[in-house]
Amino acid sequence: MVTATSTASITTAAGVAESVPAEGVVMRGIHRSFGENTVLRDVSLHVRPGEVYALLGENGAGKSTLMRILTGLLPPDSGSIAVEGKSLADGGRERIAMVHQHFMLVPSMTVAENFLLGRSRGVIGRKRLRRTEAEIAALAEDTGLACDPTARVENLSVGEQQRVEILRALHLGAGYLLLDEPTANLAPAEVHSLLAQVRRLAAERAVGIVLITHHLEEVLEVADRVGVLRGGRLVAERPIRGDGAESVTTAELARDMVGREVGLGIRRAATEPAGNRMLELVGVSVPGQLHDVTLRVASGQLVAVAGVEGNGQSALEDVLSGLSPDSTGAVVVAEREIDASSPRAMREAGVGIVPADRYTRGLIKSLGIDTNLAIDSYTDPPLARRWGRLSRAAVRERAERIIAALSVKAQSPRTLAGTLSGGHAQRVVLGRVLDGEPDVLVVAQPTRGLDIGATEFVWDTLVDHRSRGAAILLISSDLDEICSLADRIVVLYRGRIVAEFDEGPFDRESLGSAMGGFQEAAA
Amino acid sequence: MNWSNVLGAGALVPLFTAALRLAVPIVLAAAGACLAERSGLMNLGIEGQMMVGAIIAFVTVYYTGQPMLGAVTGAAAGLVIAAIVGYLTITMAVDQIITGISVVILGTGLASFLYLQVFGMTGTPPRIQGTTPLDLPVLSDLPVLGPIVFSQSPLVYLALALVVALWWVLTRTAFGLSIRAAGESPEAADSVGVSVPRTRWSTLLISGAAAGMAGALVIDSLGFFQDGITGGRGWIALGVVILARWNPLGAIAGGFMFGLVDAFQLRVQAASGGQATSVPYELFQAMPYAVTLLAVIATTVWFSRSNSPKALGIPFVPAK
Amino acid sequence: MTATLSPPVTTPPEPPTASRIRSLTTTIGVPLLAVAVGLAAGGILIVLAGGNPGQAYATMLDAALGGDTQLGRLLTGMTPLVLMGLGYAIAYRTGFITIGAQGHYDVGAITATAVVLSMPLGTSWIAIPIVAVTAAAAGACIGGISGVLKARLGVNEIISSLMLNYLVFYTLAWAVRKPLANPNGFTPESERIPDWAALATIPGTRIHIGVFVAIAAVPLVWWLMRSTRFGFASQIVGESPSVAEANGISVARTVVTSALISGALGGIAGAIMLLGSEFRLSLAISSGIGFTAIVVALLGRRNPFGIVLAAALVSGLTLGSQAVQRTQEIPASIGTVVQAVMILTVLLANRIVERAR
Repeated sequence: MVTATSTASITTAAGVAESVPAEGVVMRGIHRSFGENTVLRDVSLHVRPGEVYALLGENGAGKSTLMRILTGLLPPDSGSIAVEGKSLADGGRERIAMVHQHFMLVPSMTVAENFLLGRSRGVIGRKRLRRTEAEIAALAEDTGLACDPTARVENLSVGEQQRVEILRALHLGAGYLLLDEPTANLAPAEVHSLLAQVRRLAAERAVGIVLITHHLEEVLEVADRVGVLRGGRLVAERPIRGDGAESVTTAELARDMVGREVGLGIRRAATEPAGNRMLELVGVSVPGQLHDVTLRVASGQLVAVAGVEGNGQSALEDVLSGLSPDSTGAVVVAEREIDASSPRAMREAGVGIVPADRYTRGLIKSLGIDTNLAIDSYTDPPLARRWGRLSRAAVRERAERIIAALSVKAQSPRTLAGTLSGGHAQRVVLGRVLDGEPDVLVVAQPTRGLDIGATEFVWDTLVDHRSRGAAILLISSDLDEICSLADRIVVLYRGRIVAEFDEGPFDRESLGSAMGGFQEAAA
Repeated sequence: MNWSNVLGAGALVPLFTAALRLAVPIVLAAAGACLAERSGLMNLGIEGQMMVGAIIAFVTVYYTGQPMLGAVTGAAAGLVIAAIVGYLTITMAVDQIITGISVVILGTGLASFLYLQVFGMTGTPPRIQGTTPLDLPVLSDLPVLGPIVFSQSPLVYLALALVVALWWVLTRTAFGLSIRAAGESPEAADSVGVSVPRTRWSTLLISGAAAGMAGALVIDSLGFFQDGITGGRGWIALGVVILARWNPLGAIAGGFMFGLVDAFQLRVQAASGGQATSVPYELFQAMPYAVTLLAVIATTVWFSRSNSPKALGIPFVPAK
Repeated sequence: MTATLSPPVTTPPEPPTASRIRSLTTTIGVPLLAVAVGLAAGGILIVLAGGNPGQAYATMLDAALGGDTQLGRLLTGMTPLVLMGLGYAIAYRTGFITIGAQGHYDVGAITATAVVLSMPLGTSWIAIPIVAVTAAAAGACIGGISGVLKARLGVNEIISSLMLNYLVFYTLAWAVRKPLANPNGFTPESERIPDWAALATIPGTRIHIGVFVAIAAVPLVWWLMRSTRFGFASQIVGESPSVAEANGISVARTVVTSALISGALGGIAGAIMLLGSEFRLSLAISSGIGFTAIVVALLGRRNPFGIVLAAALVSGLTLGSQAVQRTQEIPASIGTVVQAVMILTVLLANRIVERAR
């Protein structure tokens, strides 16, 4: 590893002059509190040009705050930041760019227009647009990040949009990229592609890259060094490549992140499933989205539908939620075909669903937890009374019961659902669904956006219900999750089941390939 | 009654000429509103801005005899009222719909108050002289189009020129890019350094000025003022924004349709001489509103609102 | 969904005392402030009009509360405002923002007149139920059109309800000129309704019994919103239509129902006013009371009891400004301005309180 030989002098937040390496991004002794809450404690970080630095940490560990300080959105309480020997205010700010998890592109505009947004003045006629498009094409060529400058962003795939974001950052002169969960929505093939591009950018253009991720496997695949934030402190920094590289396992990284042994291992059903068919989909199709999907789940079994988002998962979720009026094919529960035309019908058939979009389908942030918990059951006794009435007392009772059952951290049942953390919000949704004691549980992307602790809780809950005989259908794009929980896996690609894996341990390579659409030749 | 007086060959050109004249206030107000809505802001207070613009313009023209000056002061008045909307909806992120409705009430009340203050409760209502039509050289000699489009009042030319200018700004400038971004994805715009509040302030003030000037145009056309003189044109302008699919040039077509129906019903009333006709004349008076309603329904259904700016009506609080 | 680049999302819950102070401020402090600011604005206008604010407000107070007759007028004035304000609140709860109150009111008045004038003879006992049902139905129809347009076709309800207002108005104009016209009258108006059709008054006063309808409606609507399944569903639909649909609550049905109820209330308000205080149909009926009712709903924070208080305030303000125009030549439009200033103050002040967290 190159050690810095030149130094520069900058002033710390406390006003003291300090000598720092003139190369790369250097954070020293960063401290930040919000009121009584200390979010960052004495964090020091050095990212060198051409280095890929992975930053791990749970939600609440301080990653977001650290990034906001680094991009100049937030000042530290104490400590110093230097970019190539200059402070942020002194020009350092321009050299750093953040690529967010949710892209900051305007979908209805073209790539070129997005480049010009906020960066140009005056008239933008045809000529100027063409010129910008040419510049973008040249840069794309140069960096190997393929991109069509005349395309509308909304017509681009997730991977393509990401490349646009990166290109834009580079076009604006960034020497250091902060990538926030860049692989979250990518197919396994695209993930490899991105990680390769990252390494290429680092190697060929000496771009320093900070990769914020919680995918431990990816860290090992691409990073030169990895830093782990926990409770606001940088508790570990391990070199993975180059001088002094250690061989690090994902288990060790997980332990660093959480501070204890984390039970993220395999949790398959201990016994053979009952053999009955609790849930069966026969030839289910939705025009343009799903084609002839057939699968079955037995009681006491967890079947995972693996696939990258956008390959029919939402349509599948809609069918199982009773929200797909134009679906064909049969949905069979407990060996009786059911009428899957309304959410109520599904619920009465014993199918409970935890939706992927928590706040679009599951919870209303501006209403209380008790109201949220009553949404699916207010039409039935004991909440419903005769002549259209509703019993507020029953609503409250139900809320108190479910909150206790899932240990939801809330001051009172009337607390607004929007004040809950992601993990506890998910507990509310789970609690509501489980209270109906469904025979079939459908969970879609259940741990999306949740930190490790919350993920553990969800997995434990699912496993618990499986052992009590529920049939569970897990729709997920998270390989870790799938491989840990599933008894069987089917892979959904472009609306079709393209592969089935009948028993573990599952080969992640084949699984990843199948998810990306590559059919494996028989081994 | 004699229908050929309204729809006969000789009557069509005057009909269309009147239609354009009647349409222009709505077109102008709608074009301004297009910009505001494209940036994500629903300026429901347009009717109030128009009212205040109308009274201020009326007073100006009454005392100075300068219609152009009236247009300017009317625009300024509309801008001031729009600033109230702006402070509440942009700076304080208050609900845009309720603010708009409240401002309409405020504007209506203020306009009424000002009128009585300046002119008192007199017997004969004061009148002003409207602008005289200006025949553009050469162009006004064209057949059909000549008299309809190129023999209008200078205020009409001004208004139409402004509408085209607004379209050009929206589609051919960096500012226009910022406007569209602010309305489609304010977070994205914010992240690249576009000040969403400042963009929305600009479009809102433009919209207010346009509405105020539209009020001046109404006064110029009618020559007097009374409570409710704008007759719901501000609200119709908002409907025209939907018809125009948020494009200022489209507002010309949409507003013209309204103007045509309006001109038609006025002529019917005049031709029937107030006497009983087989069809009640209230039907014709109601036509402009019925047509607007049907047109909005049709546009909404056939174009399924996919053109409406995604962040429309949602207050944006910049992440600090 | 992770918003990874924002500060810790879980804002620590407020200690109970702070939140109680906050809700007290919002419920009492803000409206008081709004009244004060509104009256101050009115005062400025009064001065501009060459009047004396003290004198003017004294007159207004007297006109509103000065005596039994005044109180009677206040209560009668409040009746339609309360009914229509409640209608607005019910609709708003499902996310349906209608400004069609004026149209519902007008159509209710038209229906009441038509029904009563076409009955050759009768008594109040027969007339009132028939009028109530038909006026409510007529109002519900108008409201329902907007509702269905929104729920099924996605048509903006502000524009549709407003256009319908105009259509109803022109229907009214035609009705008083032709079918229901008074052959002996000079201005377009209908015949006076027969005496047996007029609403009875409370003995010793001129307060008609329609007031009791408004009084009864308040707890009824409160109960509707709080303790019925419809009220519960309304809230869900209004806050998040997507969550509602995903859980089997029909957004369309809830929205249309609320539109129908809102329209019915407006129709009843119009009918009550016609049979209780106007006694004949004329263009003056369509006086903008629909907009005033929206003001009442906003000032009353869309809460049934708040609406009553706001209705009292606004009705008093209206009576007062009319009196002041008569006696001191100060335009009655200051009443409108004061109302608007009050709402704007409420909006602003609530926002400031919210932000001071």
